[in-house]
Amino acid sequence: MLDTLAHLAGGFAEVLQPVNLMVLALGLVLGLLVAVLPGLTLVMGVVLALPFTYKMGLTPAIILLTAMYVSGTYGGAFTAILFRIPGEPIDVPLLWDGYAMARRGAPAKALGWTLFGAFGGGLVSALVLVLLSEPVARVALTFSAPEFLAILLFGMASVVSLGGGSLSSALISLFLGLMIATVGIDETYGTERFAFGIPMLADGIEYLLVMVGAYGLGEVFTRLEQGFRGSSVDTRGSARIHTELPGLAELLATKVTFLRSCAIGILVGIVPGAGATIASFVSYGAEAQYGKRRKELGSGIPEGILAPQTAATASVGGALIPLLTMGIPGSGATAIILAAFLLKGVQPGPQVFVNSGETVYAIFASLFVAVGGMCLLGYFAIKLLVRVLAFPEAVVSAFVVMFCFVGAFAARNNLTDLYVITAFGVLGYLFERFRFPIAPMVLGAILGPLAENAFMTTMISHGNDWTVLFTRPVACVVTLLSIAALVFPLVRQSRESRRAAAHREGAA
Amino acid sequence: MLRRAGRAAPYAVLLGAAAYFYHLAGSLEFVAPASRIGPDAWPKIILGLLAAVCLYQIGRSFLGSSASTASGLLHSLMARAADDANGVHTADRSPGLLLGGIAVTIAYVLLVDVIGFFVATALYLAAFMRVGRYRRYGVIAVASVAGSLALVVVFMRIVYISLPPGVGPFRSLSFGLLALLGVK
Repeated sequence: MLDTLAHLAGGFAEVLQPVNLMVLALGLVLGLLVAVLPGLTLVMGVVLALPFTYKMGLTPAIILLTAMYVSGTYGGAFTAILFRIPGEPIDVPLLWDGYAMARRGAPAKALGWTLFGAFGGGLVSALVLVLLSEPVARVALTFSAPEFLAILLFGMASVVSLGGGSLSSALISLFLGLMIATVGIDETYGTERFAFGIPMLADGIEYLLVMVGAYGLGEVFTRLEQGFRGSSVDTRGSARIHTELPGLAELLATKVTFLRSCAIGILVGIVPGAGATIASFVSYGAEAQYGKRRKELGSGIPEGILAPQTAATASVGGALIPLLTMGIPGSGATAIILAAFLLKGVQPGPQVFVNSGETVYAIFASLFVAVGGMCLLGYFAIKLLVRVLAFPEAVVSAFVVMFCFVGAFAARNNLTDLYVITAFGVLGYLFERFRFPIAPMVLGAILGPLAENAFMTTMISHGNDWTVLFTRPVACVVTLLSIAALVFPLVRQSRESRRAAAHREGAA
Repeated sequence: MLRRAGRAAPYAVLLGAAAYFYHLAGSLEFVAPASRIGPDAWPKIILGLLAAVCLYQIGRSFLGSSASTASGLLHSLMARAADDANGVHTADRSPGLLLGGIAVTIAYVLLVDVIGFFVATALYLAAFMRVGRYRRYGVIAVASVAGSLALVVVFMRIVYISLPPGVGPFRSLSFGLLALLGVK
């Protein structure tokens, strides 16, 4: 414990270096902006920031992206509460009570509750991250290839099971991502696969291009087809906007909601593929089921604001646990943070605590500082932040495409990558259009090489015996969890069908 | 029947592609001990699983009902909150806008190496904003020229990325501009 505190103190010293502090502040502002700006999502924003990290060291690069990630879970609350525009799907539950409270004439109070939720949830999850990561990493150090293969399979299964889209379309998306990762020279034998003699393909398809193309360009094309929004939101009244923090008695009255939401946020964050949106919805759902004032939910009560916001921000610390200790991203944003690690030649996982311990503790410390800084910015700069809503989406989107292009080009200084990213942009659009989730494909492209490596090592060292996944205790439990994750949507659908049939019969 | 065939068509195409790549994987050349699996094993497993899902979907298209399907948790949550999730941004689709956007994007990719980053970017930004039905031409002109300049400064002076200068007169223009901006 004392060791952990000492390392954390070292982490704070590192974060308080002028360069890191500057990068952190920049990340916070960018995260809040992308959450507010029309046409930009949190994951897109983090993707667009990636090229700026190419020339940075590992620590500032990860600090920048983590700060964007944490503040992105908070910024969208302003527009959801004040203008009924959810900046992100995360913020949809805030419409139900946050906007209702604002309509009742207490927007400042509603903003105060989100600020407290983001601050409290962020701090508690950062604390849990510090306390849990090293013990988990120590356990993970004892794992060998079959356990890692099982964990990677679980990560992919839960992304399919928890994400958007139907189970079949999510599986197809994942398999396409895994196939994209097989293009090029394979690591074990050095054999060229599916390159068709094209040098660009022989080098392999960079997951960065898949990510930037599908998330960035794909989203822009989708919104372009729907028609960009002009500056239709009147932000002239923003001069009157302010935040009113809840009093101590009000906070004490909502302590159960706060603690429950923290627990939900952290647990949901830890599950690969879940992320802040699910945390926010699940927490609101739990409040509707178990909350003391559940019957008043939706009418603009503090619990309806506190629950989703606390869980959304608390999920950040949770999602960083599997990323840092096992190299498994827990959400879209952590997949990009994983990409940033890999671009620096560092594979997150238990070894990172041994080899890059200072960076890990600097990331932990940066999360504490980021949560505080984000709330200060939210409190003092809300008027300015809200004004960016007036930016026309067409202008913002044109620049988003440019950032995607420069980001893709800068990775290898190769102009042919622009063709690849455009192709993935069109593919990303088609995925959105036909309701195929993008996240499994991106995750497949990132985790594909790791999964294949773990698979080959497992098979070669265990004489091609795949039952090793069931004969080793840890691997067996995790493999069974993966199977359960895939069966879960089928069970849920069958239960819902039965319920709907019973309802129809009852109505008849 | 035609509607069902239409629903099955994308999965049939994917199934065909999976079969083709499975065949390609089978013809990979490598040297390995007889008992050891080769570089074809992993892609074959993925393609086999992909084919199984496609077959299931094709079967479902012809035999099953189109009513409900097993979906991810996020999908179910968002479906329930669909009206709020869309917020004020619910509009009809305009394929013309999409095709225009893709066309100017492809034109940019084709031209950037010839006319250079600055000129291509300024033209692209202006064209994309116009395709996106933005009508304030003064803002378009200022945003595209100033934006391109800002991108050149940020990426060449701060992030140190070498952007394409173009050829012929465009090359001279790019270098002249870089000299003006103090980029060596």
